[in-house]
Amino acid sequence: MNTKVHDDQLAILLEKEAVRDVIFATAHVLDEDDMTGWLNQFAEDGVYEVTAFGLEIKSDMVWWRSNRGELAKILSEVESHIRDTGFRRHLVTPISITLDGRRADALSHFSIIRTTPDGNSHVYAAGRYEDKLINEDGKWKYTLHKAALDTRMFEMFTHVPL
Amino acid sequence: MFDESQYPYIQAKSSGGLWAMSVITGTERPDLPDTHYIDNRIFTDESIFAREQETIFATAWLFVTHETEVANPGDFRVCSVAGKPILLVRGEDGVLRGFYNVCRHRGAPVVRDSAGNTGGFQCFYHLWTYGLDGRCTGIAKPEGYSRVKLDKDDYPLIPVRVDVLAGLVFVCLSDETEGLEDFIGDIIEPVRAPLSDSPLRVFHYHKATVATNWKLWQDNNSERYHSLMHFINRKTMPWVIGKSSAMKLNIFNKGHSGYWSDGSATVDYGAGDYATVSIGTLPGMKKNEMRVINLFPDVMINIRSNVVRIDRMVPLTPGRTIVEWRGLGQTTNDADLVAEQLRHHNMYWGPAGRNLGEDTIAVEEQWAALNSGIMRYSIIAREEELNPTDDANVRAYYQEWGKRMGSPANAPFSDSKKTAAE
Repeated sequence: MNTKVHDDQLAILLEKEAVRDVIFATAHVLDEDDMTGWLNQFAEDGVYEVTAFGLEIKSDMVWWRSNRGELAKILSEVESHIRDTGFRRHLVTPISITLDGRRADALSHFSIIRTTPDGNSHVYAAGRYEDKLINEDGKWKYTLHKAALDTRMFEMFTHVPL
Repeated sequence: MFDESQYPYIQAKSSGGLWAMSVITGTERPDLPDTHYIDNRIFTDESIFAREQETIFATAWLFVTHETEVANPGDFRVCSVAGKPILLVRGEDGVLRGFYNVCRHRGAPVVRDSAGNTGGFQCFYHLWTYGLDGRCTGIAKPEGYSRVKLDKDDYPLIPVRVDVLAGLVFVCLSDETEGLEDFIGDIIEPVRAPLSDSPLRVFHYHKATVATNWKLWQDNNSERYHSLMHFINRKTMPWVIGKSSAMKLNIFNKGHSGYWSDGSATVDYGAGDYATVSIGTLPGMKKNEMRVINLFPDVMINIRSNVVRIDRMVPLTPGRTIVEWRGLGQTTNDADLVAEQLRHHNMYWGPAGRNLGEDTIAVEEQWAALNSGIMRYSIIAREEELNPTDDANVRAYYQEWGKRMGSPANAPFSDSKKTAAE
């Protein structure tokens, strides 16, 4: 057994596991309505984006793009809005993680189950996260956290990230 | 027995308490001019909904798309008007035409995609074909019709009226309706330059099935003072409130209305810490200016300095409405301007916008409450010199609605032949 190869493979696996942890934690803090926890997953210059393809206008669309500073402001004001009284739970499946030194690309599938106040649950949104991350001081953070939506018709619009 | 001592304020109003219960149930007509209240059953009654489809949606000019969505020969777009499937297509000759999206053979849709580009159409079911101009160009196995001498030239797609105004494509299903320019009238003038004087692109489109009546969405787009519900607007639109405002309602014939100012009622983006969203002001607009027109029956055009929002509706049932939202901005290669157009639009009006979600929650919960039948009448009685807190535009809208429906909005079953639930 080549110990060096073994150690390198182990290191890669651990880094990929660390990226997965970020992906799962991101979904979890959203479900907990922990906006500070969500924001902490971003690098200082990190950007959040929601996109969809407009079949009707034959064009890619950006539905939300904010840097970390803008996100902090928007999320600090969420409680001031008239907003959805249902709650959401993310189901996230990491598909691939590619490491390149301190940088990583990750692709995950997601669906979001929305439960109304009277207990009715249904799929609220589906799509893929197309993420770019950077390792800062041993922690993986998003430089781009992108939700590329399959869903284009929402039953309820959103004041919080998806 | 109703214990009036629990509600002393009602006793005080009722001069003896004889009609206290009727106050509670909300079935008493308001003591207001007839034009200043509406019967809530116009939002919930099936027979009224059916009549609206016939007398309003099948006769009015209805906005369906922007001309840039069908700019090139072969570009097509499908939509629904008064419950009918419509196909719009740009011909090789550059003419935009409209047809019912129905094959003349057995009625299957000729086009199943929502948009695209093609050299012609072929019905997927029995393979009849049509040109971009609607002519029937081919019938599968035509020899089968030789005995009955069926001629394909007798079976073009069924045409509908199409016209374009300031880049907006309208369809009308009635031959008797006046032309588009006459139908719209002068209400187009305040938005003509921003819509026409520079090339625009549709950068945003989304739709949703909103659990409300279609008129409640138009009310939401027309009535200005619900702006106070919006957290962002409270900070950035101080002219909404107050005894006098630079922003004024403008009432036009045929139920059209709008609100704009001489340019001094600007949106105070700085107060919301969003000062950079207003670069690239559209032609004819002053910096940070806002203009809104509402076209009868179902369209809003909302222009804020560098972006345009256009709403149209497809009513499905009394309580379900598809709303389509478009976002438009100047065609530009300036990446910074594109980014700010998107940011500005999405901040308010995207599916994750600050305002749009609040509006849909409001009209859905409003409709659910109205549908309970508890409160018979809604009040549209504010008179405030056409300031944004006036209801004059909503009243004008329902005057037109009543004229077209043959009975007023405050007594929609007053014609006995139409009575369904009185």
